[in-house]
Amino acid sequence: MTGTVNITIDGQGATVPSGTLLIDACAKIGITIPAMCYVKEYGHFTSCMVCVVRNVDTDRMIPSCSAQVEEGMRIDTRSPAVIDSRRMALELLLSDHVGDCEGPCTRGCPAGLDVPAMIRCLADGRIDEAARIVREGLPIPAVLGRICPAPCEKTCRRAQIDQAVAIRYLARCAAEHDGGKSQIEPDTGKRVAVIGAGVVGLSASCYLRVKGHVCEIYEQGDKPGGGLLDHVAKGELPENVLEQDIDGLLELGIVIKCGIHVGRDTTVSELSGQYDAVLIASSELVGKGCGENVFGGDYKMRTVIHAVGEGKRLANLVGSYLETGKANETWRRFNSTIGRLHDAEKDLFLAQAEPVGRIDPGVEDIAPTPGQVRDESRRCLHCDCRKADACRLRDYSDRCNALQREFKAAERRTYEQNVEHPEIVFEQGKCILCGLCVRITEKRGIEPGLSFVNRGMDTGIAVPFGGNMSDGLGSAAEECVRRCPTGALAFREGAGQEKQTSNAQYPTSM
Amino acid sequence: MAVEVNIDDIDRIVADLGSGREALVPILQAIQRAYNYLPGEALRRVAESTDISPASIAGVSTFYAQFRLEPAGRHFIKICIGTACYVKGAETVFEAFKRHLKIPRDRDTDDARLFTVEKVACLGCCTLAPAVQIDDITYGFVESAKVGGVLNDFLKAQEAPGALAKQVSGKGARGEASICLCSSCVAGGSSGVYRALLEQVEALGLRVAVKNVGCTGISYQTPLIKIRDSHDNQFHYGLVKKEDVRRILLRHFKPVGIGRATVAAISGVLEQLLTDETWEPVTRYSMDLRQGPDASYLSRQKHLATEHCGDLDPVDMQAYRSHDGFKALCKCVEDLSPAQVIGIISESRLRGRGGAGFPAGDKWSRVAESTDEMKYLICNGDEGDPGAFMDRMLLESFPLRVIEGICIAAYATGVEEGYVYIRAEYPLAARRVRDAIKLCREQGLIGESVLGTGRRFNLKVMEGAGAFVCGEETALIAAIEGKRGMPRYRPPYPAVSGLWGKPTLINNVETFAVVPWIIREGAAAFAALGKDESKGTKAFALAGKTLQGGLIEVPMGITLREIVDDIGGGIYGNRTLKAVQVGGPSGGCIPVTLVDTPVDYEDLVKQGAMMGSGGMVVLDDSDCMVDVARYFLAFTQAESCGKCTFCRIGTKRMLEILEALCEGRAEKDAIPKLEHLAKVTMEGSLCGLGRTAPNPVISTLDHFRSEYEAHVEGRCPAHRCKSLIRYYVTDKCIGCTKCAQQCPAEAIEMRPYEQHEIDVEKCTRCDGCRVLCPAGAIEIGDLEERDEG
Repeated sequence: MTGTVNITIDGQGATVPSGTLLIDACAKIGITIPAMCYVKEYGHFTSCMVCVVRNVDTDRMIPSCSAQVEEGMRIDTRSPAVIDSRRMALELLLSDHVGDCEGPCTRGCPAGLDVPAMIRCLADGRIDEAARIVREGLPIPAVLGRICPAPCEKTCRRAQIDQAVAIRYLARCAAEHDGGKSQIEPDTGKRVAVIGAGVVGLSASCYLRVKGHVCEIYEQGDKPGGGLLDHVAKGELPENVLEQDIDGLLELGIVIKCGIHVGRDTTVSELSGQYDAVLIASSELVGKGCGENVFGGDYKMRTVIHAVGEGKRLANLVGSYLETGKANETWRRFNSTIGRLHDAEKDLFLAQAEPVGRIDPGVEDIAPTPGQVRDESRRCLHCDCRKADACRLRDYSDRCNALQREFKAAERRTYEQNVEHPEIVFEQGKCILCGLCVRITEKRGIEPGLSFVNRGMDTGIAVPFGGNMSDGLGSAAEECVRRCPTGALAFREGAGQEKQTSNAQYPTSM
Repeated sequence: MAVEVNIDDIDRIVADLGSGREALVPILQAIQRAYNYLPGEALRRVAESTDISPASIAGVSTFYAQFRLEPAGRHFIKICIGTACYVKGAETVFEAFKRHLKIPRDRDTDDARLFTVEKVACLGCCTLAPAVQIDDITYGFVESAKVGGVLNDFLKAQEAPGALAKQVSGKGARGEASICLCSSCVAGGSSGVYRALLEQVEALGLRVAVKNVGCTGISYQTPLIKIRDSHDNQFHYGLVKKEDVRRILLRHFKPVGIGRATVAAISGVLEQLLTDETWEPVTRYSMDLRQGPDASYLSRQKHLATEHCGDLDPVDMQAYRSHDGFKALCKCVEDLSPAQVIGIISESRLRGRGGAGFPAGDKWSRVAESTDEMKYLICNGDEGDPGAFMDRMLLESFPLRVIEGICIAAYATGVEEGYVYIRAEYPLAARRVRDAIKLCREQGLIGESVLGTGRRFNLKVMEGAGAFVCGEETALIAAIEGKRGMPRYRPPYPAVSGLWGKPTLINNVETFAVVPWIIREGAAAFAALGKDESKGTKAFALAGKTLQGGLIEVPMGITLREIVDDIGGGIYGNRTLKAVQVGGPSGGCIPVTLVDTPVDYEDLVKQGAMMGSGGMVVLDDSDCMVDVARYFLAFTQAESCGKCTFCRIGTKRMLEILEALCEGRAEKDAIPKLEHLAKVTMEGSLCGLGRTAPNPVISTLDHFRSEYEAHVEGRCPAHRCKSLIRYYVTDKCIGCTKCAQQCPAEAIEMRPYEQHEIDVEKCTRCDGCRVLCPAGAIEIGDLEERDEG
């Protein structure tokens, strides 16, 4: 085909070669259309239907990955009708999706610690990496390793089989390791005054500091720690453990000014003039002198980990204000959940874990050996998604606020997993049947390769003639995992997977 | 029980059928014919010995319903669950077969591996519903109580094979007796009558040609014999039994070698019988086409595609030619340029008969305009609508006419390669079309030089492997190319880029079948029939609750009421018309209040239905509209190819809600949820299957919303949904114990001379007792309802 075609996309004119696909025409003028089954090198397949746009003249939704430009065509890529259609496609896919994005442990943790990632590192002997995950997730890791009430262990799936994984113990082991320091982002030039060096204030400062903001804490007492000092007094928390965590925070560059009483020595409004933002993390001052750049929250937290969670929420609030001038509450990311496991599914998960019982509680207080840590971490069922941050289904669901149970299935699909490949896990229940892996193995001439099998709702991906997944993926394995738009094909260790989204505030539009 | 695979056999199959990708489906079909399933070893051998990749073989062998990957029984029992069979209780028949053969719920084959029981989409024998096919034999009107008898009959027939092989030659015959042996007539028992005709003609030494002819479409009278005596008088006998054959023959023909006296004596007896009451059984079968209900059955019709129905031996070239056959093709080749032919088709305003109604002339000229060296033509005979059998009837009865239409199209568009794609369930149609193609090749109508013009045209039959979605043209192309039958986005349309990326003309069987008439009689004659934008005639498969049903061909614009009342003879039994389902799973239900709707493309769409391929199922007041919607959704959901999100998952979620409604466990917001899903699926699906799948739901919601509301409350007003009803015995019970004896679930305790009772918990709602009860004492009520008195 020759010549060019003039089209209008969201009111903006464009001239593109005839034969161009709409999605590519949009990209040409800077409009990114969400798509899961389309990859330019492997052509279009028209299955996910998330890339729909509206033909303004016919008022029909058309898949932009497959439709070619036509002269005079007028396209709408972002009206509510288009977004609705995309959301419905996602919601239908989600109704047939079986998998947890974040593990139940992470969801149960008010601070949202990526427990399974930490555990995978420990199981694999990558202690530095485990330590970094813990430090970035928990501002006072050593303290929490001792006195956290561990809600994560209450939601742990392993508890449905025998006993929960000793997550707090593992976190402490990682926290007590010297390596794996938190990485601090480049200095933003913004300064925050935090009033109160209790758990909320310390945590918020830590989260803000790693984002590159300067943090100075004003504490009226002579020691930082707030309520934690009571735990020390009661003998529940060794003093040196608290000091270890405070030292860690100081090392990050957080300044703690003790013995300064805000209200007497200085005032909130004075601080508000001196700093870019003020965060009130002291119950005495709640609701006082709130200016535009003064933030505060709820400090009557039930437990220490809830206080850490509150610190994280406030840090995000202040952080978004500093970055955009507008304070946004933390966007709760989309999370698909399986719910209760059937017995056969428990067995399937258990097959991938050590069948041993939980580590003796007595052992928790003495110095752990690497063997003990490894054994305990291998009890984890890894029921989270290894590609939770690299999944387009989740990313798009987030962006258009899709609900997992809008179109509820009468009976949910059964969880399946294939671990024949030494490095890759295939989970059919997370597959959206985009066929990319089939097209990749076909194009790269892999034998036996992968194939669609069966049809309709029973359609699946399989290696022909009951072959082994290692042979099916062959030398295209890495590319298949990388191209797979969901967690259906993922590296077992969760590493090497590109993040789909930055930590930008949600919701952004589709 | 592993089956031994002979590698040489597989290699031979490959050598016969080729080793390219397009040979894959035929290869798999051949393997399955040999082993009754696809053994893994055989598939691996195919991968080794051909250019076809293991991934293709795995993908294709698991896509099409025809292929089995598990060993099957020696014989296949296929229970038709097409619309007509379904509304007449096919599910119950299916369960009865499984019960009789003691096959557990989760299996399909009996322990002895003698029978495999399956449901099939539609056997195309809707007027004989419920229909069951065992291997090549079709049985009609099967009830659950008859299952044992059917199996015995089948096994007996196995012991005496080849009974159909003999045919009396027409030479020197003094008359003829013709009978149709199409699938539905055979299901009605016409093969037995045919055998009896052959036997009796021989036994009596008659010089009568016994002919097998194309179907009359009068399916409700089948087996139907037509007699032409030596004076060329014609007589029709309907619903003939084997026992009647001898008497019918003797009435019209003089036996050789029987003395005059004897003949006189027989004639005397006949005369006597004619006036005698004992003759009554035969006269009851005799029909006079000029009067009575059958006159209207035929007189309201207009036969173009089905011209000369009942007169033509389907694969008799001589007969077809003597009835104007191939005149149209000759006229084209000799007198008309391709552009003139297309001009006539455009002028006739013929629209595609496959459902969407795209103007045929436009399609033809698009293909004709293409300068591509290679172009293809496909005759779409992948009729899969449950409740439609027009294509089967046309292909079985008029294969030569369909081929003539194809040849004309090929001439007009400059195509040299054509395919007739016939669905898997129509083996007889495939056989007859193959035979017909052979005849055409012998006569130079098809081949390297068509009618000596030097133009090349080759035509092949391609058998489908069981996938409704392959009726969609891009899926059909994928199927012929040996791929999974998954549609792709259009444009480009096949007329621009179709089979193997080349311009391809795809028309439905019926579209091709009317082409010769149009060419012969002229565009104006065709356009004079019909109405507004819908010209000519349309064939419908009339089935369901009318007195008479079968293949009908009517001028467009006729109203549904005329079809139901005049052609169908009204509603059967003491029932009233409730709705007409038009267009199968893509269509909708038109309620009795709108039966004056004219049958044409636009008006049907306006009422929420569509022409579809022409299934027309008449529903009465005992039919539950929610159940009908559920039935169609179950069909499309099972036939969804699974490619696009909206169709794959949307239809499934809709079906789940409908199932919940029919089982009385729907949530309060089921109706708005269903409506929402219907809209989403309709707007978002990739191909026509998904885009039209919600139609049966939307149209029943529009016209019968109160029935949905009743189901939300746990009631089925039509007393059809098994979970929402109960059977009970009224005080009319005479205590005869028949119900108790018959009950397969032992839900009725035998209590001679006492009023019986039905245990609601045990009762499977098979309806057997109610049909059997001589006192009419068994009634159906709402589940919550109390016993009377």
